Amino acid sequence: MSDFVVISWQHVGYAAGFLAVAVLISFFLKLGVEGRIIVGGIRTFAQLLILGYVLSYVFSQRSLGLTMLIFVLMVLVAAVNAYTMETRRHLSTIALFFFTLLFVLIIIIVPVGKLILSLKPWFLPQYIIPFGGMAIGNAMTAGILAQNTLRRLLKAEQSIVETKLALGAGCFTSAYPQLVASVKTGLVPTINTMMVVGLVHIPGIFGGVVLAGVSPVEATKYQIVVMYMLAMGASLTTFIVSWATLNSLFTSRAQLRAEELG
Amino acid sequence: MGLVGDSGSGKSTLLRALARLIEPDDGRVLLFGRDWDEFTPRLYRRKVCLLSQVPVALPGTVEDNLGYVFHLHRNLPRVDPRHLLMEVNLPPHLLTQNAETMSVGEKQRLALARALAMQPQVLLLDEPTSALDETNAVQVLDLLTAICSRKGLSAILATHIREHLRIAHRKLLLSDGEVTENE
Repeated sequence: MSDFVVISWQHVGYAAGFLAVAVLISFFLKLGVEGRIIVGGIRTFAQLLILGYVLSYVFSQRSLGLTMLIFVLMVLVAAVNAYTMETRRHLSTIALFFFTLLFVLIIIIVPVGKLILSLKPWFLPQYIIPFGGMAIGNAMTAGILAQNTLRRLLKAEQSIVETKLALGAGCFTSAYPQLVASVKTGLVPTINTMMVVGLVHIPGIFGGVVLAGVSPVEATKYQIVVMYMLAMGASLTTFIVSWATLNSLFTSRAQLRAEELG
Repeated sequence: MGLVGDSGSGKSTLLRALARLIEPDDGRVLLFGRDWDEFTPRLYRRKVCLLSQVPVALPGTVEDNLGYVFHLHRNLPRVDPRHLLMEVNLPPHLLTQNAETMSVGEKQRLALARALAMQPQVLLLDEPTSALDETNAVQVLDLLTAICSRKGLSAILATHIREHLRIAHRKLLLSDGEVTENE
């Protein structure tokens, strides 16, 4: 830990120069996103600052209840984000993502805390919250991708699905190829990352742990755990979200709700 | 029975409702005197089969398309796929062809063969000749008439061409979703 370099706020301010370059590029190329870059920059600053202070408090408390509260809030924000990303919004998406991500989170953090890291207590917030946050973020992205793909494919291939229905196939059988394709699409970013991790990009937790002065070999172990955890989280989330979405797009009389496809 | 009406008059919607792919706003549907709720969707659609206006070939070969029906309805007596093709005047050598590369007319006949494999009691024919030239259209209509009379099938034919109703025993004229003539 002795190698850790503390950054002053003044030096953080220097980094704003990077943002200024992005704004200038947008201005000269007439991209029209200067405002969004500035707002994004301000939000990044404010959100991370709040996160820093909140986590400082949570880490000092070592409370299971407080840690779970943080997770519930994170999952809620992720679920609302999934809802706002929909072209045609369905309130049920919030509930679907909320419960799916909560389920995925629990079955990830309990073995990570108890078995893999052998923490005492198992919910030690400074370990469990970063792990959980990564799991939620990755699972949310995978779930959104899978759900959007499923709706898009069902719309594009409505005639094939309805032909199968007309032949007497059930909902699941009629849309099975689209279900498989959506789950696969949701998994693509996670699988791609696993293929190139350590070769093309140095992932966040690895960088963070190394920056904190831990040896790269120790950091590698953390990153391996994270990658495997993300793979399971994305698989479960894409499957649950796609399956539940598929069910919601058919009536009990095996009719496709075409108007819900967006 | 023939259904005639201009585009947008509700012919396809009525047939889709009769195939139970959409739920009607109002009314009841009886199949041989029994309410359709007495049938499972699978059984109802085995008895009442819709052939859509744009024929759809499922991914795979012609044989895969015909075999799909037996895969879905395992209690159906197996019929030789070559026999099914001959029934709709398609040559048996097409069995190994990729169904998606067939012409529209061939796809229409394949869809009919696929429907016949289910041994339905009612055929719902949504503009089966709309994508065909006049010669092919007449051939398909004659084929449908022959198959229906040979197998004792009921059929509801939707078309916007009044002359095609010559094969129908009963005719309904649809306009803006309403039956305006019944003869």
